Amino acid sequence: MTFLLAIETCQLTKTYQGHGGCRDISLAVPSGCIFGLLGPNGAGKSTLVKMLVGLLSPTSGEAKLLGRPIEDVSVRKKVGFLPETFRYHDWLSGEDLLRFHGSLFGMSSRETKARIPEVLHAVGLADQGSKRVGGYSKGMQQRIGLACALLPDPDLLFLDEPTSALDPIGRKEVRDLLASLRDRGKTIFLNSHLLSELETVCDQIAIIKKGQLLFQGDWRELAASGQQVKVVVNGDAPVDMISTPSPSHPAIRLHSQQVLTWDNSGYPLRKEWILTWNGDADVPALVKRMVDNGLSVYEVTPISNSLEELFLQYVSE
Amino acid sequence: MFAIARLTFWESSKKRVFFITFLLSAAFLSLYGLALRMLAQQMVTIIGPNSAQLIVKQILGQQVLGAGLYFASFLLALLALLASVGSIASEIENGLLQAIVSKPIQRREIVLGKFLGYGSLLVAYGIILFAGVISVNLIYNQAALISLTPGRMIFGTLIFIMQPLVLLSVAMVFSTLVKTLPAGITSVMLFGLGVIGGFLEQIGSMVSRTDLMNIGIGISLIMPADALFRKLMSVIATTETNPLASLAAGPFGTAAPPSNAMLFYTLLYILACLSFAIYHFNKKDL
Repeated sequence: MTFLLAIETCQLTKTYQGHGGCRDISLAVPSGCIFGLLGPNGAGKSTLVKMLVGLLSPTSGEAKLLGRPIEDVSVRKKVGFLPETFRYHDWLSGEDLLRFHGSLFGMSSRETKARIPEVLHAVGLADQGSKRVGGYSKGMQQRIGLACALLPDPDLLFLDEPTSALDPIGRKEVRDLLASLRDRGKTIFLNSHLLSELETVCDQIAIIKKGQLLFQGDWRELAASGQQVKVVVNGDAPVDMISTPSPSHPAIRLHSQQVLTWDNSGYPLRKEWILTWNGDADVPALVKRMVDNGLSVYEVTPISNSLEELFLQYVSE
Repeated sequence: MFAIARLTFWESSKKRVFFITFLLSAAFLSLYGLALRMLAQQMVTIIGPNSAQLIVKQILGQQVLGAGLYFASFLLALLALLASVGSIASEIENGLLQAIVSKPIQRREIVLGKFLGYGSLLVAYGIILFAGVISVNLIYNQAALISLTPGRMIFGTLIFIMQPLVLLSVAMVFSTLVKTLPAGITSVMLFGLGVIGGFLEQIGSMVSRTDLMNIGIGISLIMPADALFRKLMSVIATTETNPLASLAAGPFGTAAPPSNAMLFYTLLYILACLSFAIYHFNKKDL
């Protein structure tokens, strides 16, 4: 059964003696996407994830996973979770640990037996399954945790800092794995501090700060909504002439400028302007306008906001 | 629940505390057997009428049997408390439970699974230990077990294995309430309180002080482990027709044996502890 929304929360709140936690979080995470949760330290990200996977009881509000209330534990048969503090029974072998988690998921021993080689292969531990978890490196322990989460072939996967202990190659492998899961229609809810990583894999994001939801949606649309162009020009025409509203450039604004070169008398020659406007950028029309106003154009570079910039913009407001 | 129980049984049998307790038990049974053998040899040398010899044998025999069972109970209590007190608390502290609680299982299954896992290990170990103590006594100290019938033996075994289950249920409660160290300290102190309560009750009975007995009974209601030991002694070592019972009481004997109602109360006590542990764990934020 497929659902339009894999995660749906309505004013979900968790406070500790009236403080901290998160408040009134209303999220809608579409099925089949990689959803990133961002926020500064102490913003309430882990609190939110822990509520959704049943580790914390909400103070108020409601939440549904795969169309069923979070209080219904049976929904977790199709929900995988990798905790931030991944800690497993280190005296077990990797395969024994997976067998144990398979029984917790309610999988038959036949199902578990069939899935174990698949998940071990998926996380890059294909030939390490018979070794004790206690003998694994930190990165391998994180991988076996991911294997546990993947065991029931979940429709929804919660990953709390899933690559914190991995090297760059391991991170790339996990990113590829997440992308392949998304391609198979799985929903991944990713909580990570690594913005560059979220930027690479996430389709949608939510930003929370001090327990409040600031933004949710497609971050690329958000980034594209405020276009910026860096231009390097030579000439006397003031920036006002360029930024005067016109049908092709409804509201160009000068974001910043700096002089790059001066003549012998100290008169500015080459300048760099960062121009911004709302709506679709018509860069060729902008170039024509600058040329028509007698400017020599040396460089025109459209700038997209990175996720990091958007994030900083939100959390510093 | 059974997956948790299996893993708990497996894990606890691998714990160092179990290995140490096992070694201690082996050492205890060997030394105890040696002491009983030497005592038996010494008894033969007692000169006097047959009846006097029998009285001395029975008094000493009762006390040695009591000491053996008391120390065996203590070992079992030690294992029950030390192995299980961190069962939930330590796994909350180190984050191990996060990957388990998030699975499609009810939290009560975790508490009951752990109880079942530790409980079955303690029961198995308890039966072996009890059988060991009784066997050594049957070889060298038969006089102390003249009233032991197969029925009493089974009844005694059941009482003996109830002791660690009581302590286990208490440890489970504290393990869901507080962190590992305070849970351990509190459980051990409660066990100690039960022992003191048991002694107060026996002393009160010997000196006919009802108030002292009532204090002891009150404490036994808070922690019935020692009352179970007194009941065990009354089942294994004496009968109502044995006039030597009061003479042989000593520190490990039973001047005032608890009634069968105490056993029923103990079962309710275990159930209440488990219910409370489940209730509290259900509400606990991890």
